[in-house]
Amino acid sequence: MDSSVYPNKDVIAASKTTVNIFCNNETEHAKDKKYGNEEWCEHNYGQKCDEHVANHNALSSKFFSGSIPNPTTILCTPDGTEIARKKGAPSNKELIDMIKAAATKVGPGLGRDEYLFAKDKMKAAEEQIAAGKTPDAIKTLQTVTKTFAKNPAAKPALDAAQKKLDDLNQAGMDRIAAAKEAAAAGNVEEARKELKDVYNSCKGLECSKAAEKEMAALPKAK
Amino acid sequence: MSRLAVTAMLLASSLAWAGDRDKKEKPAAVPADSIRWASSWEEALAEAKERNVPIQVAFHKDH
Repeated sequence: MDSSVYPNKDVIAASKTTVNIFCNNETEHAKDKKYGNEEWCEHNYGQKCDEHVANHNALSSKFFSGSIPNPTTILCTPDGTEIARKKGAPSNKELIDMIKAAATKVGPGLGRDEYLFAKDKMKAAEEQIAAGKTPDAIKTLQTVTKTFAKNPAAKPALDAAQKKLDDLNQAGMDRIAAAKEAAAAGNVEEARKELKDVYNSCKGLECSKAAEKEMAALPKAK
Repeated sequence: MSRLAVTAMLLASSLAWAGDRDKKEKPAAVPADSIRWASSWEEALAEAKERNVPIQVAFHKDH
């Protein structure tokens, strides 16, 4: 089955609407098959044999009380509750139909490609924030919020990106408050410099507009 | 059998062995796309919850 069904492009497309886990406690096949410069299980590109053996050991008693008919395909809800089971090798169409029915029952869900896109962008944004590249981080996070604005399945990714934007905005607002205190204490040029930096580095956020407004309110430089 | 013939046979067999070895070690092409398999049940549960999607559990044997 793994050599005919799983490489099928329509099955691969359907698999992007689920999370997939492979369970096999046998390793008579090649354990470290070379794919380019990488080594993976002969049957599953991207998986180590140790993983599918551990998955089998962890899940066999959860889904079977006696012997395990192989192959068996089980569809579960996100919390692991079984909703469909097929003993024996399904055809491509049978497997796709099983996946579609389960996805309809559980969904709306976020596709694998969109999920990985959001994950990559969030990781990039975190690295940009850590490196002090706030303008880049804002652009990256706004890519996530714009891409998923109308996708209800992407709410967790959308919320996470918006939370980071809110945090950056709050940090800018805090800097503005500190700059205003500095100006009130007579350190006008120090305040102007800080406000200008908030204005430039936080474009696209409310704090940038607020910094611009506060700069305009400062006494003119002599 | 002459010494020359034995040497030739040994050379031919070692070349054939080397050929087989090279053939076996030739890497497979990285698939353009493939099913992504979760590395563990815990990872599968966490991702399925985050994405709100079903989990496909596939049980197999080699033979």
